[in-house]
Amino acid sequence: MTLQPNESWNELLAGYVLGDLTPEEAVQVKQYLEAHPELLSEVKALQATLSLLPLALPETSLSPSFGAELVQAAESMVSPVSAKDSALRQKSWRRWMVAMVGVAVTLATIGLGYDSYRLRKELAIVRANFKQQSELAQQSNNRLFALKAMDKTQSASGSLVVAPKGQLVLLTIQNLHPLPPGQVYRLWAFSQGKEMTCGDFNANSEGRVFLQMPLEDLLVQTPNVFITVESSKANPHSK
Amino acid sequence: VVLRLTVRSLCVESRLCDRATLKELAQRVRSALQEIPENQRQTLEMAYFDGLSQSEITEQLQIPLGTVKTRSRQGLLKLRTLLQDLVDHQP
Repeated sequence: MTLQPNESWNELLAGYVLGDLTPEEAVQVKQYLEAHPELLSEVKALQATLSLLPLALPETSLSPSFGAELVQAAESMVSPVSAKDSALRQKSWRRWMVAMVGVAVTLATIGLGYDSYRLRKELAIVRANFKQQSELAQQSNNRLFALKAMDKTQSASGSLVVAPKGQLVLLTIQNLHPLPPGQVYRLWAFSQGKEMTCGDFNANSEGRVFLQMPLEDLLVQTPNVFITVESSKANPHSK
Repeated sequence: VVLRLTVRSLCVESRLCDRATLKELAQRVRSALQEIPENQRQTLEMAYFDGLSQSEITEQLQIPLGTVKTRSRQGLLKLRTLLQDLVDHQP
């Protein structure tokens, strides 16, 4: 990159990527980026840096009390957003919770159902999810992808770990606007003219997403994945 | 479609991944994190490893919100510099 923005703009760009700008600062940054599109590469580099951060999690085991902490957090969790019916959701949630406790205690990889969660109670889950993503990304045969916003005015970024052996996918996104009731984000895989939905989710109040879902064949085959905003009522599950 | 994200392999975009495993990449990121000032590392770790909000970090560290933001931003900028060969786009 040839153009170096001054120090204060650098910090604002970092804040843009971290999602901690005030509304006024966000407007300023968007206007500045429109006037200086060459700085978008700097934004992308900062997003890529943030995407790498989960890899730096320590490899040490979680404390034995962490399992109980997870259960407690899980029990007080608000209802998740999902297009699946409630019975399946409950089943999926219980399986997921068991999986995360398993990770906490044994650090094993278990592929189970998916869901998305929100609000403060998720903190323990979030911690485990990041740790699991970091560990999965470091195992052989697994793939780590960086997610980039297509719309240059969006500061959302994230990463996706595909773990064929564990038959699961872990999705982490930051700076994604939480959607109002009735709408969901939908993850799609696309390959050779076929597309399929992989899961519905929403961002939490801080714009973060931590999602675990079963591995679909198409996700193994393709690096083409995208996320759209859809009505929560319609999920074609096209395959 | 309001929002659409593309997914690209980090290994496609980075120079290091051609010859390094993800484990080595993880070590590289971990080392970079150790190189930034402790207070900056602390705020990033609390936010992204412990899942704390900035107001919770403010409360725990007993420092102003502006300081938390400044530390996080400067920490990210330093990491970006330290990992430049990994995160810069190929020409």
